[in-house]
Amino acid sequence: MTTQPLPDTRKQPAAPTQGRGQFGSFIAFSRGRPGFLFGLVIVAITIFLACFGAIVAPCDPEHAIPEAGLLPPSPVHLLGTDVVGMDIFSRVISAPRIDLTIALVSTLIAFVCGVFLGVISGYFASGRGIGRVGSETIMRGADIVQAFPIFIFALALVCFRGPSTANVISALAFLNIPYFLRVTRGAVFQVRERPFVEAARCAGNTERGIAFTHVMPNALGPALANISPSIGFAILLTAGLSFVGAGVPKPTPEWGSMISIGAPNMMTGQWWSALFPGLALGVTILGYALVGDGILEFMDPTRRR
Amino acid sequence: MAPLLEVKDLRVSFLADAGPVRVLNGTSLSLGSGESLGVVGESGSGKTVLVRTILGLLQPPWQVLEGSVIFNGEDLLKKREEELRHIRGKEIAITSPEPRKHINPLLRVGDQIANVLQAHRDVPRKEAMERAVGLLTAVGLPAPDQMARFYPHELSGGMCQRVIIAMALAHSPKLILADEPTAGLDVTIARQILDLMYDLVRDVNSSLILVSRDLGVVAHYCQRVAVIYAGQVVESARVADFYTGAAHPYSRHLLRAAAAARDERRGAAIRLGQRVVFPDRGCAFASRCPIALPPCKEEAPALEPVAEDHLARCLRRAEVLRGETQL
Repeated sequence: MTTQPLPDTRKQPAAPTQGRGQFGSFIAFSRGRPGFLFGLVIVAITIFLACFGAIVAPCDPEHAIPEAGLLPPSPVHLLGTDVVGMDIFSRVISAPRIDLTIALVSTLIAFVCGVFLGVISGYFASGRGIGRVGSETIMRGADIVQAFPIFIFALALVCFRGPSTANVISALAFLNIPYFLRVTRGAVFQVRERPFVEAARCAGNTERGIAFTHVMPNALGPALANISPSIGFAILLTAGLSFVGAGVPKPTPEWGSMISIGAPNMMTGQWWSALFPGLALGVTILGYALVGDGILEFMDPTRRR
Repeated sequence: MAPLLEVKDLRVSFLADAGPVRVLNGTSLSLGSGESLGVVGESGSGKTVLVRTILGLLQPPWQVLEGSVIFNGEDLLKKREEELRHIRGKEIAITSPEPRKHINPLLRVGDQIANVLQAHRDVPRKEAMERAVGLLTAVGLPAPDQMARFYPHELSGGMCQRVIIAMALAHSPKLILADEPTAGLDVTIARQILDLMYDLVRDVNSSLILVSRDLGVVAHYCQRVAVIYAGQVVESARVADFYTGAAHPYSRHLLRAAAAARDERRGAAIRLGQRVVFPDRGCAFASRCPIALPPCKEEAPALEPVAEDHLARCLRRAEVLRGETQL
């Protein structure tokens, strides 16, 4: 019997991502994804407007000229004026400062807190002792927060501490935590049963180390996917709060309150005062949704090509 | 000298809805320092459960009813999780039959090996990464410094198994539990993996428990062999003694089946027919045993010596050993 030579394993393997930095692979990833690029452009524009919108605006967004109320779009007032004569174009491009700050900051806080609590409550749910107690406490807390009608709860929180941007942010963040918490907890339940978690335990990692280095990254998907709807939800809730006077004080440019100011005029034919802020709101939410989907895909190295 | 690992009369049950299912039924084995033991048995005989019990990984609905796992003079079954953590990965390491599933898909392999190193040793990240690359070199992966930056899905099954072995060897453990390290790999790769593991284990003078279905593999890579049937060790012997003269009818069947598979003489393979049953009394193998006598169904045999360093759990072990029985 002759011995077959074993195949040579020292040849170079085909390697798609080797040697490429995080940034490089991100650029390669974005290429060939028009939706993601479109989203990135929208996000970039809104961030630019959030920083410089009020400066590049042709008119003072809070200056009312009552005799120039409800003018249709024209070269002077590109998108027309609203019922008290404020320039809608200037207000639409000034609004991201307040809207984005509220939506992004509150969502970010809710994401970080929700994922953290979700991993703890999910990973230690079937344990014993302090972990189990912590897990149950977190879940009952989430139940309590979610048992209240959201809008009423937000209203109560803001009224309790007085209407201001910071209070709207903290109220929205607080209300959003249970959503991030629950989706993360659900994902953790699945991930912690996967063999590599036991392998990590076999290697002698601490339970805390396993929860946050092995389970959490694999359970982030649903929470990341929840970010874009959460941003839209935050903007809408801000608008609602502003509408009843508990959110951003009135003359401050904000899409939600502009829609509520302009809504009555839709009936009498002055469509521009509600349509344009609504359009801006819609396009912004779409942009963040597209970017959110793209990031979700980028985070998963097996789907990254 | 006391053995490194001694498993004594281990009884483990799985609590199913319909009632407890006995899986390990008084399993005993011992392993000296630097020794390699092959554990063979059919599917469901309890090989994997045995390995998991040794590491204390069983969680409800699994239940350890009695027995002890003495490692280095201490009973692992009596230890708390925190104490076990210092043994897992450092003193006892494990490899898996499904390497790809046992690696975190979102971490680069170098980082994962470095994590294993840092779990037990207070070394800076940079040093751990360098050591990880060193381990990848030791397990024979090409271009290890680049390989360390790969994600698991970019590696083949054989490469993943090498990474798993690198992790298992990170702390030069005293005992390595290799649960079917070559399942799902083609024969040439399987051979390379086993050769590699054999060499590395010998380099660090670890003991090895190699769980396998392949008697050929066990013959080649182990010094001793333990045959498990229905959650009991039915025979334990030095490899040379086992292959020339097994003393348990089940072992004889296993050997015959393996030989038949190689010779392609299908007719020679014996069909044992009935499924495995766990009788309340008598020998567990009696219902399938072609040479069972009436007392076999009444009295459960113990694992008793039949020759020097050769144990078998059969009333007729001496006859079987001498080849006097018609099997």
